[in-house]
Amino acid sequence: MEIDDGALINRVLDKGDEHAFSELVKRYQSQLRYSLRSLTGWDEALADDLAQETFIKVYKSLHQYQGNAKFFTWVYRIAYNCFAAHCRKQKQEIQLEMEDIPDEGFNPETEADLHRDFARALKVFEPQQRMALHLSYQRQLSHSEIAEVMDCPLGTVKSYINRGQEVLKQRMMSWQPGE
Amino acid sequence: MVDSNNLDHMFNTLRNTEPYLEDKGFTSGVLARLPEAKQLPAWLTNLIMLGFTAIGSAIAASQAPILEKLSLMELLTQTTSSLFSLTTLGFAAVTTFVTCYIIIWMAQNDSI
Repeated sequence: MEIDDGALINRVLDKGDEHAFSELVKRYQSQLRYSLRSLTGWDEALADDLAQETFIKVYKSLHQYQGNAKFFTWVYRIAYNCFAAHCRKQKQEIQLEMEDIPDEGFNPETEADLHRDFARALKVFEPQQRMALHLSYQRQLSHSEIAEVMDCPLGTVKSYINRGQEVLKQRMMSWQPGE
Repeated sequence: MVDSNNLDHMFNTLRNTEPYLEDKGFTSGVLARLPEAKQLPAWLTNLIMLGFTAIGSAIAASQAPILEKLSLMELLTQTTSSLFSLTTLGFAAVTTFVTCYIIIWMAQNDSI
């Protein structure tokens, strides 16, 4: 039987049980690394570095987790902060990368290509909007949950998603169901 | 141009085909970078314990009828030791022990 997140968290907090923490990491590493790949234009090395940094911050601040939100939503909040901090540091570099994004359509040939190409297509958006779109469409979080993760007003989240949807429609126009 | 249904279909496809990323050493990498619990140097731990043991002993000695005796052995074999002095000795020992470990724990957790 799988131990729930709360019990594992208590074991980490009460006994400093690193094995319990490793169970939490194993449980969520794939989803978090996938999300960060989606946000970084499928840069696997960068995504893994950010995911590691996220889990280390989770460990250090676990005592601040109140249990009000789902644990993974709370992890996402930390991941978002790591991602946003990275983007601020690399702002110049990212702007240069964005200028290099070819606007040559969206033609994934395999499922793996679809994930990678979609992550690259997301790079036209600012990091905040990228996060909002990813959390809404790929993680299916509610707008209020996204506002909580990103620590921004609900109206801003709705605006990010509505405006982003229009741009995505334009960029994905060559994609056909069944590909 | 794609319509909303098509976009929804694409997101469904993305969600349904999300790959499971194998761990491949990721978790062990995280664990290796976790901050270690701070350990006090052995000499400092010993110094704290010795210091508080000395204080506790002094308190116990001041309360026990030891000053009139020649040795601790005499005190221990003294069948007339009062319940009061034994209680005081025990209390001083426990207090010293507990205080000592609280100080060590606080030092290890940066509370002091």
